[in-house]
Amino acid sequence: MQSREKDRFLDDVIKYVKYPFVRADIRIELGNHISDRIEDYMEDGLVYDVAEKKSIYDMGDAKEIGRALNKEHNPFVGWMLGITNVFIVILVIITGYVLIATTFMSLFGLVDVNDIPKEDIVYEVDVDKKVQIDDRVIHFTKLVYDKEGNMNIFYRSYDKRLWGTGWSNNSIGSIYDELGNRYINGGGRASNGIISNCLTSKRNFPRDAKELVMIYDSCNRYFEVRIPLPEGGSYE
Amino acid sequence: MNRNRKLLRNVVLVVLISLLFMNRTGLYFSPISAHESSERNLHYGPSEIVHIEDFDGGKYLLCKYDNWISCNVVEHRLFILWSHGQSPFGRENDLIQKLYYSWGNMENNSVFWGIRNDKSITKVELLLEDGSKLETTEFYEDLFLLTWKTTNIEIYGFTKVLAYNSEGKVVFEEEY
Repeated sequence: MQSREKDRFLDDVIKYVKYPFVRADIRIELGNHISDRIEDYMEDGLVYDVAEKKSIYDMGDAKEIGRALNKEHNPFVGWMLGITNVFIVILVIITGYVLIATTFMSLFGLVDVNDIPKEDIVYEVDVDKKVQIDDRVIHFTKLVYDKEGNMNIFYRSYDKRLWGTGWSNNSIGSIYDELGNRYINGGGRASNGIISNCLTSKRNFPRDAKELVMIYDSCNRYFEVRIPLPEGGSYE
Repeated sequence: MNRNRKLLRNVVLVVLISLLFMNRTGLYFSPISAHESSERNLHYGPSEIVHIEDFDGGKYLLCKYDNWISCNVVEHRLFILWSHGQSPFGRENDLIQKLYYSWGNMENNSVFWGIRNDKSITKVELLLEDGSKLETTEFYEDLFLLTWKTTNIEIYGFTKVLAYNSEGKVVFEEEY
């Protein structure tokens, strides 16, 4: 039932509540409370108008209630809660996207040994060698020599620090054979991400080379990895 | 949970998620942290910063590390943060060159930097493509830095590099 007196009382209370987003809730809660009391009084035999007046009287001074409720619902805390709630949602969406993207790149990166057709492979060598430069671990996993004379070096690289940024140049230095011939031409790619799947390819690598030598010697960082190759390149 | 506790929870969450976001996107609270992190990630340094100079939206950091010299660029991001350096990797100083230098540009900010290996050099001068002239007499542990704004770089952005001794004689000259 619509009541002007109840509404006026509620308006009087609400005008002291500064934080706008709780006004509707307070209005509903106080309104329900008054309605319950009106019903109680009417069950005791009072007519509606009298029951309403008594119920509102029982509630007390609208100004005092309003001020108390404003204190309870501090507008600063209310605004900060609202702002931080929105901010958290935005941050979670953006950070989640970044994390999912980097994890996706790590798991399903563009670098896959199966990209080289089986019929093009002359030989492959499973490798399990790790080296470390600063905080970055480079884990060599496979060599694939193809019919076009490319030596494909597959490796993963990741930051040892839990809070590491995960980006690097993923360089493995210079590539040589056992005779010291250096192979410059070629290409490579890396998935990046938390664990970066990488491929470095060197063209015109000799089929009968006995050893692959990788030497990183830059800015006072050094590592050397030697991987024996199948004799005469006839390994299947 | 009362509202104050909710607010505290929110603040903690904002801080933690922000740190995670910064970590994954290479953002830092200070330009020095951004610079140091970029060097470490690219396996270079740690270098000694000998001079820092501001430009619109970032800072140039002139650095020395063993035989290498570098001019790293860190940029301002999201009002209070700094992105990791764009060129932390140094160049090995060629001691045979009286003046060893490099240059680069980012958007419309150009930079020319290097080192004087001939200690008699007291001034470095750069003639720009538009005919204007830039010069510096300031050296920071022999490193120098010249910066300028440009809107249309044709090839190098400059046409001539000159270095003078204290008597005003040209001791180094290179044309482009």
